[in-house]
Amino acid sequence: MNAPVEQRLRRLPELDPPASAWQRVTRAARRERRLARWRQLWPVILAGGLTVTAAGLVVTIVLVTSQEPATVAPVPELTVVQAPAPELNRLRAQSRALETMLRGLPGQPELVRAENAAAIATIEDRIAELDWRLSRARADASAGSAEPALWRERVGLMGELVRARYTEAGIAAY
Amino acid sequence: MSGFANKSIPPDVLARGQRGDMQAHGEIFRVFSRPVFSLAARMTGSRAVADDILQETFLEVIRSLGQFRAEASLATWVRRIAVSKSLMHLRSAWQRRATLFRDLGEAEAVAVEPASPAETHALQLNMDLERALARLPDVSRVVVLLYDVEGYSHAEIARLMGMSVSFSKSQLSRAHARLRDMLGEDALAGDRDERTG
Repeated sequence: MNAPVEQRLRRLPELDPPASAWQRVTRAARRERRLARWRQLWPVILAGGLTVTAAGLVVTIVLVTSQEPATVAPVPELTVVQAPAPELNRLRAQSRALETMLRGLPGQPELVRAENAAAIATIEDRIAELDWRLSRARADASAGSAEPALWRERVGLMGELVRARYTEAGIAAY
Repeated sequence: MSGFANKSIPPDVLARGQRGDMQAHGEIFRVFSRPVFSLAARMTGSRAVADDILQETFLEVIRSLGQFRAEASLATWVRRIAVSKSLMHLRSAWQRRATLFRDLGEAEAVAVEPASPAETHALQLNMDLERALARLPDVSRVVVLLYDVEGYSHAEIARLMGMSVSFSKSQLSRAHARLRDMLGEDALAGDRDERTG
């Protein structure tokens, strides 16, 4: 007669995990360590980017104000041409800082969530289209006034991309 | 008997592991991976899910080993993490919906090649039991494994699963009856060797 079910349960043999299990654990542990390092680093990179932006802004303001004669009233046409420059410089510096952050993120993980990958692809497409519109705006002098709006949009999209890539790296680490 | 029983790690390996030595982590994995995988596979009823839980458990072990204080044995500590990860999986409705296949019994049949008629018979009995176990409702299966195999008390099971002691007891009694029924055993063979508590 068979032993009672409770005893039989206790005697069940152990099951073998897949042979590659340890390799996957070590890979995931390494990825987790990289991500932890990145978490410590990114505030420093962000602070660096903001400092560069602020410095660029100060230099631009100094250059612009030093060109204005102190005793002469500003010419309206001159104001129209030069006013966007500081903002453009600031937006370009912000965009560069975000590009630097993006390069500092861990590479694309082996496992990605389809929803996140689709969001990243959409943002990248929108940035590519925006870059094309920016190159046209630069070539077309009459469209120059469109540049700040385009750069503003680019900075927004770059921010979204950094967040999406950061989420992707975070998901893969666990 | 629990696969975690009588498993230990030499103190020097543990100390190296606590300092982050990956070779020591590999040694800890070698000792505990089979009991963790077996427990997770039987609790969740899926080898694929057990593979994920094995990985999550050892990532947690590597992450937290520095904080491990030897008040309990390392085996008890690792088992607690594995049970907690398995329960987390079972609590997740999304994961439950995604678990479409219960592959435990079939995989066992491929993994073992019996050498004699006696072994064939023993293997067949084990496979029947694995299949019957996999067919129990999640809560009953977890209770029966934690109580009968891992030696947890009803009070501990109740605390882990957020239910009452009497619910744990009734789940166990029902699980035993269903297992005997599925295995075609005498229902009266019953609760003769149940522990108290």
